[in-house]
Amino acid sequence: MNARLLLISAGFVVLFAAIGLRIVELGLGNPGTAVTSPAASVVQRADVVDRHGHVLATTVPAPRIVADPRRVRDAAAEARALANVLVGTDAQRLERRLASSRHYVVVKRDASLAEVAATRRLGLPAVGIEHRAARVYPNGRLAAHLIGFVDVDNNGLAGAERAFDARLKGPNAAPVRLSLDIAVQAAATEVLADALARYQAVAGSALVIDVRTGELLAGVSLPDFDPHRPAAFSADARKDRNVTQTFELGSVFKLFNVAMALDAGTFRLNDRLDISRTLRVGGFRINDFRRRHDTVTVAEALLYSSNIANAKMALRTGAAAQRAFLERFGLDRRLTFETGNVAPPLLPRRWREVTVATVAFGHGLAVTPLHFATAAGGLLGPGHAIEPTLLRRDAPVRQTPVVDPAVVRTMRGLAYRVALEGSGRQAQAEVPGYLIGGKTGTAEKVGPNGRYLDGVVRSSFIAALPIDDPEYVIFVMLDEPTGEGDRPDLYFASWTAAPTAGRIIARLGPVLGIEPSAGETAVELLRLGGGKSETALFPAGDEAHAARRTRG
Amino acid sequence: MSGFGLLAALVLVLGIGGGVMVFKHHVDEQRQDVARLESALRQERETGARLRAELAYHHRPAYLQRLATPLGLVPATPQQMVRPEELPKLPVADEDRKRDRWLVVLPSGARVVLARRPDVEPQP
Repeated sequence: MNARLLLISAGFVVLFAAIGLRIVELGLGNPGTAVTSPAASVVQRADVVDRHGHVLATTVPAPRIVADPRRVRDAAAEARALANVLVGTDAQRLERRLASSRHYVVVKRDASLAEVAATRRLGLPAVGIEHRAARVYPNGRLAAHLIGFVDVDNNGLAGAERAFDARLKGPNAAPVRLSLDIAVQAAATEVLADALARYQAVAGSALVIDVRTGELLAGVSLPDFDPHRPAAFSADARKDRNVTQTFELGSVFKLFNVAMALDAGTFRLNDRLDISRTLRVGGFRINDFRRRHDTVTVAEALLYSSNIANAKMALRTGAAAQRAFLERFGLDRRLTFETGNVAPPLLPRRWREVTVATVAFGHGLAVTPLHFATAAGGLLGPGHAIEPTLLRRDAPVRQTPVVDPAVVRTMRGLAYRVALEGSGRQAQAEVPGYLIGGKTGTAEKVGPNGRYLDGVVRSSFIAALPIDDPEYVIFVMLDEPTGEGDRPDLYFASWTAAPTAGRIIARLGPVLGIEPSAGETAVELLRLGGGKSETALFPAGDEAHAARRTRG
Repeated sequence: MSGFGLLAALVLVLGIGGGVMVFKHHVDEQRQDVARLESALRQERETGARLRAELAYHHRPAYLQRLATPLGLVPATPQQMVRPEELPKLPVADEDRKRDRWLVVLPSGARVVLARRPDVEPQP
C-alpha cells in the first residue's frame, strides 16, 4: 500500500515538476509572434530645404487603394461603395475596372487618411491598402532644375535630389540645407518670365551668386518643368541652361580682357587705341557695331564695347598672358558644382592670333552661364576664383587674390561707368538707390551651317552689387530676344538683358537687405573708372540720391 | 529527500514558473505599449510630414504675392530701405499737432505720408 502511494506521489511530483519546469521554460523563452513590431515609416527620405529652412522637397505618405478584380463578388455594389468614400472616383468607371479580368487595379492614388479609414471600414475582401510615400515639391516648378526629382522608388535622378541622394536616404537622415533663397529665386523667376514674354525670347536664364561665399542664391532656367512629372516635359525644358550648356557669351568677356591688359601692365586706363579702321587678323575682319570715334581709351573700349580696341589689347598682351589670365579664374577647366553635370568649357584647339583677338570679345570659347558668372564675380569681388556651391556655406571663402587689388578696384569703377553711362544704363535706371556695375554682351548665334546668324542673338548682362564692394553678382541671359513694341531691331543686351537684370536687382535688393549707396561712393567709383564728369552720377530723376550718406 | 521537501521543491518550482509567467505577461504588455507608442509616433511623424508639406505649399512666394496684391501690398523698393536714425522726426509745432497727416521726404527722395493713429492723443 505504501509502495503504491509512494509511486503515485512520485508520479504526481514528476508531473507537476514537469509542468513547473515547462512554465519556467515558456516564461524564459522567446515571445514568438505574440507581439509584432510596428511597420516602419514609409517616410524614408529627408527634406531638402532652402537656406532659411523653407521646405523645397519633402516626403509624405501617399497610401494607394488597390483591388484584385478576381476576388470582387459584386462589381457594381463595391464600386458604388468605394465611390461614396473616395473623393473624385467615378463609380461607373470603377465598376468597369473591377469587372475586368486583371489581377491588380489601382482604385485611388494618394488617398487621404480619412479615405483610407473609410475604405477599411467597408471591409471589402478584394480591396487593400498599399502604404507608399510620395516626394512632393511644394513650390512646383520653382528651382526645379536645381532641386531635381526622384524616380518611383524615391531615388534621386537629378539636381540636389541626385547630388545628395545618399545623405537624404534613411529614416533618421537630416534635411539638406541648400544655398538657395526661395524668395530670391521667386523674384528672379518672375522677372525673367516677364522678360521672356516682353522680348519674345525662346529661353532665358538668371543667376544670383554671393561672391563672398560662392553660394548660389537663385538659378533660373526657362523654360522649366514640373518635378512631379518630369517625363511630361521635353528634354529641352528639363535642361538647366546655367549648368549643362555652354554658350559663346560675347562682350561680357571684355571685362576679363581689360582686366588682363591692366594686370599685365601692357595698357593703362587712359592709353588710347585707334579704332578708325577694320582690324584684319589672320584673314578675318574685326569690326565694331557702331563706331563713334576714331580713337578710344582703354576705359572707353569697355564703355563703348569696342571689338577692335579689345582685340588690339589682347594681341599686344599676347596669347600666353590671355590664357594664363583666364586660367586664374578657372575658365580653362570644368567647373566643380555639386550637381555634377556641369558642361566643360569649349576652348579653342589652337590658340592662334585670330583666336586671341576673338576671345578678347567673347567669341571662340564657350562656357556655361554659371561658370562665367562665378568667374566674373571673382574678378569684380574678391579678386580670385570662386567655387560655386549649392549648399549653404556661412563663412566667406578666403583665398589669395590672383589679380592686383588695384586692378580689381579699377574694374569696379569701369563696370560702374558701364552701368552709369555705357551699355548698362537701363540696368542702373531700374535701381536708382543702388550703385551697380556690369557689362552687356550680345552674341550672334551660330546657324546650322556654322555661320553666325544675322540678328539672331543671345543677349546677356553681368551685374555686381553693390559695385564698390560687391556682395552679389547677377547674370541674365536671353535667347533670341527681340526689341519691345515696334522696335524689334533693339534686341541688344543693353535693351533686353540689362533692364531685366536691373528689375531683378530692384526686387531682390530689399529681400537681401542691401542698403542704398551714397553719393560719395559713386564719386570714388567714377574716379577709379577714369571718369571725369560728376554731373551724370545718377540716372535722371534721382537727384535726391546724391544726398545719401556713405555706406557703412 | 523527505516528502515535505519534495512538496516544498514542487511548490517552489511552480511558484517560480508562475512568477516568470506573470513577469513575462507584464513585459509583453509593456512591449505592446511600446509598439503602440511607436506606431503613434510614426503616424504623428507622417502627419507632421503632411502638414509641413501643406505649410510649405501655402508659403509659396507666388501664392503669398497673389494674396497680398489685392491688399495693396507690393514688393519693397530700394528707396524704402532706411535706417532708423535716418527717419525724419515727427513735427512738433503746435499747428502740426492738429493735423492728421504729414508728408515727409526720406533721404532717398521717396515721399511718405504719415498718418496719426486715431486712438493715440499727442502728448503735450
